[in-house]
Amino acid sequence: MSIWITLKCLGCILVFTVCTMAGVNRGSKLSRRTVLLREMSRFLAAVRAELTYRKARSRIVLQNAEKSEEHRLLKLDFSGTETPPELVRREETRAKIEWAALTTSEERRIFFDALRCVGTQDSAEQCEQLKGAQCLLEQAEKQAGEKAAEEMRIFRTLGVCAGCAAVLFLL
Amino acid sequence: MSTGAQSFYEAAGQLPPDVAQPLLRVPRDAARLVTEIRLRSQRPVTLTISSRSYFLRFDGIPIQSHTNAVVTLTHEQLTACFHAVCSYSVHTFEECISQGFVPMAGGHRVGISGTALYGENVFTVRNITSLNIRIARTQILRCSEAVRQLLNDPLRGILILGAPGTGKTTLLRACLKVLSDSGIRTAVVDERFELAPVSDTGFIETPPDLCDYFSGYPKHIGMLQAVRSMSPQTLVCDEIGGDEDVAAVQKASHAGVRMIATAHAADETVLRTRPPLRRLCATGAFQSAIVLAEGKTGRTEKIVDLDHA
Repeated sequence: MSIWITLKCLGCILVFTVCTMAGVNRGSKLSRRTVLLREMSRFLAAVRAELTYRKARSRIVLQNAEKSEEHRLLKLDFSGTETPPELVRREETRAKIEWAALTTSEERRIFFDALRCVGTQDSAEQCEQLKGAQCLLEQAEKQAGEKAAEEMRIFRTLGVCAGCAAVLFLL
Repeated sequence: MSTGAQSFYEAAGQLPPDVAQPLLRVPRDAARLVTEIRLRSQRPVTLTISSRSYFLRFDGIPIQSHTNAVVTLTHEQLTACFHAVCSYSVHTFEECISQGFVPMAGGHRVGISGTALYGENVFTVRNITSLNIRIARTQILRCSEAVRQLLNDPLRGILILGAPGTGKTTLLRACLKVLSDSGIRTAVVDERFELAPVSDTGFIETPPDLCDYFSGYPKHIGMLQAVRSMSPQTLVCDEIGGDEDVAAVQKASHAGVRMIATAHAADETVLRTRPPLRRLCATGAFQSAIVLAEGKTGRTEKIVDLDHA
């Protein structure tokens, strides 16, 4: 009898944990999206700074921007022998898969279109385009942040509630 | 530095593949003689061979008459070529672009034309419609014995004269090699990056040992800087002729530095008729003029003694 109760309790704990974790996970996905969008807009800002102050070749501009700060989610790699447009295309293809869950195709298009313009115009025009893209990504980040704060709590609560409900049902 | 046909193929190879393909099919014998590749928006690609323009067929054969089989560029293709010659870094060459040219890897120079845009203290060119790739050639040219003798005389300033496309810069590069081999310390003012192109990682081709380069400096500033900072025995400058250049030449020669320079002039008579060149000769910095022959890159037609001219 006591084994039966113990197993039942363990099962309840397991169900409760799974439901809670599902809620937390859904919530943290929203927070990861905010982080990635922030890193994307900061990356564009770093490219803009490189273009304004150093005017080095595009490949070096992209590599320096990549090294400008530690990125948690924005893993870009501009090393290789390809031309800068090819490097951007390669990273865009990679991002399409890796960032698919965290960003929309429109956000990725804004980001990579801005990177594609690097090296194709004079620095003033490039900086204008980068600034435009950066503003759009910052807006998206702000909206994502607000949504994350609101929905994270809901998802966590829902997770806990679902866990409790399942436990009550099983008991 | 690459030579002959190799130099042509090297320049062509830097263009986007769809434009480079027919150029890379040009037979070696013809490629060896090409001095310019001219790319124009919505018009055929032309090659300049011995001062004459040839259209380029898809199979790489240069022909004189325009047929349907010639390679014609769209505006997008020309824009892609412009990005490629700038190494996909247009912003890096802004200064050069505003002066109408872009230095290319391998020492080639690309003349550009397009739409001028004036901003506050800024002049730039956008919407490029024509590119003229001038193929750099150095080692195919060896200085003649007469030119070598002039170069080895430390008291003789030399002015190299020639019409556009006669190979003044090509001869100047060959002269730098001779000067360096003779142990003469030389400062080179290379405003347009033509004599020794540089990239972020240093010189694209290793220049002569005893030469110090002032790359991208306006000529008059570079000349004075060179005299002050590197104490050269010889100062070399390409394409001088402005009033500021004349003043800088005078100062350099007063400092006891021998001058070697090039100037646009079909022959030595222009030195008397064109005021800036007349003033240049009046500085006393030049004792000899090398006049280049038309249609033969860097070939000396005659050497004129300016002291007795």
